[in-house]
Amino acid sequence: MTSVLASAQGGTRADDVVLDVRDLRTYFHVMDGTVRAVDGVDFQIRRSGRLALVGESGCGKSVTALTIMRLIDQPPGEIASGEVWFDGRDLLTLPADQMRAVRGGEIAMIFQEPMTSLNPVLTVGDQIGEAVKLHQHLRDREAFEAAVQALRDVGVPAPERRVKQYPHELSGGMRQRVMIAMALSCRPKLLIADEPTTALDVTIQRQILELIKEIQERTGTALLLITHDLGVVAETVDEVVVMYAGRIVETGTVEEVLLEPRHPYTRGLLSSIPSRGKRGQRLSVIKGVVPNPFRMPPGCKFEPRCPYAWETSVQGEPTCAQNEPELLSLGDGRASRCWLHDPRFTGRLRDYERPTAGAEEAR
Amino acid sequence: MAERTVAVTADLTPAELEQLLLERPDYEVQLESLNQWQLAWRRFRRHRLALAGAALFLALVAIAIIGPFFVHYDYYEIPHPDELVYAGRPPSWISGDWDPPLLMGETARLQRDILGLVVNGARLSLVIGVGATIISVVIGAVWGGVAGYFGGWLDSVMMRIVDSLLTLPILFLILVAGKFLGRGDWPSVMLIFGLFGWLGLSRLVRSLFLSLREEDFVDAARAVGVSDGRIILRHILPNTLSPIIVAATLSVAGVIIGEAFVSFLGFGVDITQPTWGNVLTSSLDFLQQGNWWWAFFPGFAIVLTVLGINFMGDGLRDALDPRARI
Amino acid sequence: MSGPDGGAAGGGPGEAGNGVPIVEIEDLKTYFPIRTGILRRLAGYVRAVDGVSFEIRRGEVFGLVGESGCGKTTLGRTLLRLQRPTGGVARLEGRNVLEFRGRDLRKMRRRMQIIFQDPVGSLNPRMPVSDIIGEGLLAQADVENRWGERKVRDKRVGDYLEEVGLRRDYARRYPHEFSGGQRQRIGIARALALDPEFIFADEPVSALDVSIQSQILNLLLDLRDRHDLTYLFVAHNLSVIQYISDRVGVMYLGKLVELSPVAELYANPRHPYTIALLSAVPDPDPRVRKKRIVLTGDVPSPAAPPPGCRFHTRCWLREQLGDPEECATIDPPFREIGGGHRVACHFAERIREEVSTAAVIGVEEPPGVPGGADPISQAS
Repeated sequence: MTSVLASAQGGTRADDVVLDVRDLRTYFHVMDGTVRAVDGVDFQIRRSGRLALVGESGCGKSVTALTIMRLIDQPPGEIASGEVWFDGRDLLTLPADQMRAVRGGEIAMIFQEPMTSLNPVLTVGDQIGEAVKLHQHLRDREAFEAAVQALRDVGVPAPERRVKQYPHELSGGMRQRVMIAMALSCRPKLLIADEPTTALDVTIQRQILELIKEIQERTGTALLLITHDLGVVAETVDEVVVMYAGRIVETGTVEEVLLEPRHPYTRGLLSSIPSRGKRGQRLSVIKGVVPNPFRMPPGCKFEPRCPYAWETSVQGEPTCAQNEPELLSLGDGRASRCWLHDPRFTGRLRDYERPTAGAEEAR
Repeated sequence: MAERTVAVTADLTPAELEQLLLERPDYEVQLESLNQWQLAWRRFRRHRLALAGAALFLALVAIAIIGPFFVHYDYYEIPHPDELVYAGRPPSWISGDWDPPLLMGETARLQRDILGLVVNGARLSLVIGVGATIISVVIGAVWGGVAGYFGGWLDSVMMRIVDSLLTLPILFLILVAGKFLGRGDWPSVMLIFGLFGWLGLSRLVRSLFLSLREEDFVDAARAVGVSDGRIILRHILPNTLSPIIVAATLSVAGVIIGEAFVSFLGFGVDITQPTWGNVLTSSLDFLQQGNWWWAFFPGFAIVLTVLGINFMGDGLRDALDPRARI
Repeated sequence: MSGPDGGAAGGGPGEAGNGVPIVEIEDLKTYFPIRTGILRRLAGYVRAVDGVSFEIRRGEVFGLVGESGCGKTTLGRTLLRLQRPTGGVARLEGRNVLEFRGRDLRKMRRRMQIIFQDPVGSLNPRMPVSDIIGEGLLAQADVENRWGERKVRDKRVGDYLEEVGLRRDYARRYPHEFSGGQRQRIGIARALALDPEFIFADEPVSALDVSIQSQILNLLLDLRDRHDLTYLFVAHNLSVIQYISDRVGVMYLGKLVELSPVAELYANPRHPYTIALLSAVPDPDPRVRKKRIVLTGDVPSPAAPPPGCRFHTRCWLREQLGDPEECATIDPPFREIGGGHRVACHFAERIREEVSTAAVIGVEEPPGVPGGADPISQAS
């Protein structure tokens, strides 16, 4: 699986890649059994690259990010396998103290709910200063000035005043700016943003998205965006990894994935989004719900919901219900985890591709 | 086409069934549902400790009811302090003196087994403890529920009343009330503990109601026209059961011990009536002479009751919560 | 429902139903007192809804959009008598529901129902589904419908479970046993079982995953057709509103700033806030490159709304027009500008000339896609 994506990245030299995740598996052992939240995930982010992990709740996108940051509680969590290469080091085998230096220093993370990620009893300046002092070894005075500068960089008005305020005195949008200021204060090589705008109103979401894009371009930090919102994906990143039930089901550039989805799940997701063009018609629907993590289907995890799944009568031929497909490379960094893209089924693929044109017109 | 599979089951949730039918559209499943008492029993019996607690408590109740018919002693009364002149003898299985056989040791002077007092004491202690708790839980839940649900000035007034009652020395009040409500008979003691025991609980219930009334399901009930009284009793109160049960189990223990205390001061159940508290109290004069058994056995009975009720309460809390796993 | 070209013409109101108003709201106000200190002294009011007037027509889906705190949910809750009104009138077929008491109020509840946002919090965790749906029937029981009888009630609960796509045999199960989508269906069945004419749907799909969202939206539209329902549909998701609504109202800080048939609103928005809102929505089509209007600052507190036009502190149009005086002093009237399009902006007419709407929210037409993927581009 690693090779599929690695070769798909083509001629990229190893040092072009800032983050290389290989065969990552994170399980949670709970009373009812084992939840394989992340089950064999591979992807790479280039230096200054922007990649989104997309999927619905429970698909494993957030757990992937937390695993990269080694923020999984063990137990009940277990990082069952995998490597996370970051700047020539495997983060999963790094000693704890070195990992702490990476966390918040070279890799920064911002979360969905800015209120709970800020300490309510410390001023904004203290919290940014804390991070700076820890990672850049500055003195108090310098740290304070760095905090003011950091707030100014993220467009907080009157930073000298704001720096002395407590989180509850700020609005949601302002808090998220503070989070971003904290995240960026140490000039990270990689910024992980986990649903950074989901809790925000649309006009504030706009401000934050513009800010993240602007800063990403200015500082050249790589961006790993985690979201369920395909609109945010379309505007923020270059590459997309679609996850379903702990697995990657599709990868490609943002144009490829959103305009010509190859995997039936991605396609279903896109066509179920309501819009003006669909007025008066029923929305197309992905039937059913995501599988129960304790009772995963034996074959393709999407098969029970998939309108294209088929039963076979040919002996020895893989079936959607019984055999799980690999993530099949489609060339040029594109990949899809679907039997349709297996060379044996080109006939079926042609039938599958046909309605695409129709769907495109309907949009 | 696969053969039709017909199943009748109570072990699938609708969420699981939705998924199952998606994967196997050829299945035909009929969902059975247990009624809430069956469900509660299923959840309760998984709790080993709760089962043991319930068994213990029921055993004590059984002893209280039928015990006195089997333990044939002339005296169902505690000897009056003036009549007590010597400490009595330890249980036969310790002293080796089997004439007469004494299971729990001898009461002073009367030369009777303390067993008789402990068994008889179970009646009054349990009735007072459980009865007073029921009274205080009912008053506290309704008072707190009404205050918390309606809020505003009504809440302010009702809670100020509770606050001012709490500032009074409750024990003193109980003593005074005991004086006026007639001394010595157990119903008035039970009533007094019940009437003064609900204050803390009402504050607890009020705070739960304050947050629960903001829940959408309460608005949903109001939106379909359910009356306020029914919303309080049928919709919100069941959601406060867990903390109420915890408070109630603690209250039973508190009342049994409290009753012992006021009786000791001469304001509770008449000192010659056997309650565990009274038996315990009457032993105090002779503790220095080493008659530990006189204090130990009624004390042990109180501990067993409290433990049994607490364990049972734990299980009950889970059993009555539909969200708990089966 | 209006045709797709309705907006481009700039005229034709998106007519839905027969145009007869079922609900008329006049100058509705809902304030929340702010109390401070131990003595709970009255320190002021949060003006959650501050003088809103509009009508909802029988059979239509009236969409209400706005950001959190704009008062859209409070408005619906006030209308359903879940929130005490401060002033104004809300008529259901001519009778002011804000004055109903006792029996009248209970009868009104049968006709006006609500669907909640949160599929977890809106179902009592201690009640089986049969009671969750049945409680309303019991409360509304009379000799005619015989809902007081357990058998009649249980049958109806089963019927309505099936009506929303669930199974009869789910009736005795508890909410936690259901998936998110199923729970939302239970909430819908509860509202529907009373056979209402009007349903206030308060962000009914916001808490659901995308793939479940579309299932619920389809259901809501099917039910409207089958049961002749009228919806007041509140959402913050503009694509959902655009898909489902016939007419749309936009709220900002407790006031309606714009109201229009849906096609007209999305094609030809006339309030600078609406324009900013529409331009802020991220589009899943990567070819669409909207020109963004990024509003600066946060929404002011509804406890101390700015004088004059409430939007003037963040208004980009006012900036372009050179900060005209009246924006900060005179509250703009909510006025009709033709075609059923109402707007509260002093300079609504000048939006076209001053800033070509197309330039503001215009898009690069994606090559080779007939009609374009973005409705805004379609219309401008």
